[in-house]
Amino acid sequence: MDKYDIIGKSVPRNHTKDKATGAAQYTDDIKLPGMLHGRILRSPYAHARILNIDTSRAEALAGVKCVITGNDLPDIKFGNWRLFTETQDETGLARDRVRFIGDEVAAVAAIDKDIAEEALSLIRVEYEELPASFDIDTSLGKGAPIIHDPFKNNISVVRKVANGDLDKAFSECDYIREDVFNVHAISACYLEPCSSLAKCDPDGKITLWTSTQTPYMVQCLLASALGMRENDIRVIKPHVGGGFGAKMELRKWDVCAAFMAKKTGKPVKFTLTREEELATGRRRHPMRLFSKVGCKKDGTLVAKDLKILLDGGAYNAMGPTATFLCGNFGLMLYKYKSYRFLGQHVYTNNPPSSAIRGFGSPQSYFATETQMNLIAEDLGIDPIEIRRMNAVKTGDVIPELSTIGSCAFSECLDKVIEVSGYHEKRKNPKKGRGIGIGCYSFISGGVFNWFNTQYPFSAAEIRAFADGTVHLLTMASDIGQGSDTILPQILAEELGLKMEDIRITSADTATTPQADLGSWGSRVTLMAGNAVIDAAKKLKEILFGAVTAHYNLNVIHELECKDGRIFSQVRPDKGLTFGQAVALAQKFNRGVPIVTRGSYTPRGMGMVTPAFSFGAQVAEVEVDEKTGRVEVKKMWTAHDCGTVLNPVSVEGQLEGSIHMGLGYVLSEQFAMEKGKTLNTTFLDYKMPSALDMPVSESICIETYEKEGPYGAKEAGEGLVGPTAPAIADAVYNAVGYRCMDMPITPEKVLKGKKDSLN
Amino acid sequence: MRPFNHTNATSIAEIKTALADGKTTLIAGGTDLVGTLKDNILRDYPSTVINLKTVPGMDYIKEEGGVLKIGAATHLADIAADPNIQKKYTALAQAASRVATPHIRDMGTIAGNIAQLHRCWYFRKPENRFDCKRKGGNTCFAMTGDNRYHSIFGAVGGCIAVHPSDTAPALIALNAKVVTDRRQIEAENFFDVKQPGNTVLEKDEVITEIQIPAPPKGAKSAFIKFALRKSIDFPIVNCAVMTGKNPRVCLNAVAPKPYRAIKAEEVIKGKKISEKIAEEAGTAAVADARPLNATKFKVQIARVMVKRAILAAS
Repeated sequence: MDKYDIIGKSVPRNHTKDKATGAAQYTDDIKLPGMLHGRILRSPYAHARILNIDTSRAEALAGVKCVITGNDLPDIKFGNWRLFTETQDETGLARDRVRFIGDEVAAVAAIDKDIAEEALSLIRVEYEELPASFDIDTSLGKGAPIIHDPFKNNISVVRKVANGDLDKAFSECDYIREDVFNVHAISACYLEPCSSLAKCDPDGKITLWTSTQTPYMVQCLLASALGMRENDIRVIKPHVGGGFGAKMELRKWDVCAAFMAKKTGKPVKFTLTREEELATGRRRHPMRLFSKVGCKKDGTLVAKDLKILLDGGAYNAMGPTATFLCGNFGLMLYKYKSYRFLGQHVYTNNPPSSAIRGFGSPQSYFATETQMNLIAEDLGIDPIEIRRMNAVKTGDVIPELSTIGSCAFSECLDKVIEVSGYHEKRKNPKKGRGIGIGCYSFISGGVFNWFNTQYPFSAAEIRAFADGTVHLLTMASDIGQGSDTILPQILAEELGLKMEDIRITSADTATTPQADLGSWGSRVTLMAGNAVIDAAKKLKEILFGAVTAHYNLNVIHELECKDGRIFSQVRPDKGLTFGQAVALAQKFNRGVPIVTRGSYTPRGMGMVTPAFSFGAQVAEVEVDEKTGRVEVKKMWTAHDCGTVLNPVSVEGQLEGSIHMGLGYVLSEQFAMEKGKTLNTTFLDYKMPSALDMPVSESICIETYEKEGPYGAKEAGEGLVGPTAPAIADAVYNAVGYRCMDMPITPEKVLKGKKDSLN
Repeated sequence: MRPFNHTNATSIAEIKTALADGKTTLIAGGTDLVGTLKDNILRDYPSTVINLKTVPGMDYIKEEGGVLKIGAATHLADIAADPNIQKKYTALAQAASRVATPHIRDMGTIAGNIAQLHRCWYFRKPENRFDCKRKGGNTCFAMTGDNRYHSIFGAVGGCIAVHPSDTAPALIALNAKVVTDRRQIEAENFFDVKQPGNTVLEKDEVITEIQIPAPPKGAKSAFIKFALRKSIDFPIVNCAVMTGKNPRVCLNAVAPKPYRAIKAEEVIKGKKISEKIAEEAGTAAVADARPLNATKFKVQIARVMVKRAILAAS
């Protein structure tokens, strides 16, 4: 009855046992003979000139093998936006300036961590402190300190979108609303701190094991940062304990580890501490969003003018992509006759912001969705109805950007309203209880090639064996999201094999096929999945040919792979086992192994993404009116991720999204004081615990996305978007406090609720 | 973590001798101490850590002559799970059950919980990056910095960090005594503001036991905690109450020491507890509050915690 044998089944993750037993090796678990331990000296100043660095005392300490500063490294800047070199603003270590508290200044490699740590305290750095900026207003104000010399106004990236005649569109509106939203920074809170281990062969070739989402990008950028050839660098991604976007760049310890391994001839490992991660690690962009929306009396949206200022921190990191994508997220859910976007990425002396799950969408949707609720209230229209009437649909064209290939947004709205009892609960409110809505649309990978890769976006290689097994090689990176399970699952379906018939090797730049842009932007299932299907189709052609020849079948016979056999569809008895077919094909080739390659690069797919996913989420909260404490009681989600390839994996993604969205809106926040982070432990940085998680119920509305493997598209990342606005809307529904300035705290609820005590 | 010697003690006398050198620190559960050592938050680093857990007979819960006796090294998890404590000394069981996580409650001890150092993100910053008043420095960085979780009852010795213990207000509400190798101290008088330190203990003084008199007939007790998370979170405000003829109300995380809210006790004393009386007591409890701008919200929360704890103990 099932259309598929293994697609759509909750196949268990293939790393489960390793991770549960502790057998899984993460970078920090790898120990090589003679390995040195690296530590990094960081800037205590938010903005300063480096006048002099004296490393002599550190070098003299017994056990210290290598001390380097920025001047020891090649003077080459790096950054992920290789297509626009002016955005590349980082070097392996600071050369003459430090730009945030924690900026990397010097590195030490010693025979143990304690000695390395002690050596750091012996390095004398002479600084000349410079005026610093800790917010976008200061950076954009008169006489602001210039943080990177080429950018006199501190704006490093500008993105504009303009569709239609905006003035005319606003003049046609019956109602116009302007709001300003402020959203804050959060940490990715991945459980594995960044770690990097480099080894240099006697011939000068480098192997780097690193906790990354993007081994290929690290390989290319490391080669460029060290003035080496790409193929002289091998990057291996071991098990990774989460990344969420914050591990998708070449990082300074990667450069230091490789450089110091080369210099000392010994392997060098750097592993960050949790304090370093929380104080200096990548963060989600704080943003100020100015949104002006105009509509007709009946709620039909007409015009939107969105301006976003992103606090990029001291370096661009993935800020350019976030700036670019914010322009898209601003119009992905609803139709406007005219839309204008201006995004400006502003340098400050805060720790750098970057990609953190959603890539600008959580900020964007917090504004969009809150504003939709405000408009609905002003016009006296049901918040669901106003969404439904403006919702994008399959086949809609986003001007100059993309065409929506599949969309069940309206169905998601209907379903989530039904299962949550939204309307009944709104009609019959209980004291202190509230219910609210938030929606999202997200990308399934990007199509814009800012990395300027010379290879396909994703690639796969299949080696087939006469024993009926295959070996799948791909550079796609499993960072906990499950690609090492999903890709074999797709291949098993294609070839009619079982999961245990497939060996996978992934994310090793020396052995897996060039290339893969990595795990971010929800691109892997669609892009690497398509590459696997491409390679599988080529393999099947070879094997089908062998079976056709063996049985002297009419060439018009269609063949099929199923249950480990390859056979004619009209004469199923004419068939061989998968292994026999491989053996035969190999004999035809006089022993040459059967290997096929596949790839995927989105072409003719516009400027955004090959496929859009959609969803709607309802939150029910209980607000303690006397203390301002918000407790989320339940979340209902209906989402359209195309075909669900692995239900339990999708569910896991969804739970994770809710957890992250919950922390974002209710408890996670950096306490910053002049660029210094005060809360650098998980005691003070309040990521929600398991006990804080609400019950959640989810429904997948299946669509078929023709660009996706088996009709699949993004699942999980985009869902972090609606959680904050849905919870914020529910809080408003409960006590009358409308959050325009994240996060929601007891203090703000007490001050902002209808019968405020103050 | 820097190197230090670790000694397993076999007697209290041995610990006393060791502590007298001023360079030795006592460890029991270690859930606070190990963190402070790892982060190197203090000016001085101990050369030796001496282990109380190896001293026989320090881990017990018993009732003798109408007094509950708890050994200093008794784990919080055991206190939380003890049926007699749950029934008769309810506030203490509730407080112990709300400390941190199951793992930490399995390791952490009652003596350690009341003797832990205060919580302030300046004071606790690794590598002693803020050499503050509590460390003998000249500045309270929180006073002019981010003090959203700090004192609402002013400073003691120029410090506005709060005492974070969950069990301390319960012990004070239950009129407990802290027994040391040389004296008995009323729980209420046990806390102090020193550099660094949170107790009146002499440097070579060791807590051996906690004693709690059986609550008077008709008295009930309750503990209530306000924090952002349901697990592994220090209180923003907590409160313990014992009702009865001589009611006792104690807040914590609102001042450098646990704050006994005498004015709230006066409101409920001799009265039948009602919603209204409890509300009045809450207001009285914070009558002397002098919050900072960022801690005003804590005054409201403290008021509500007192009210709810009183109602829970009625």
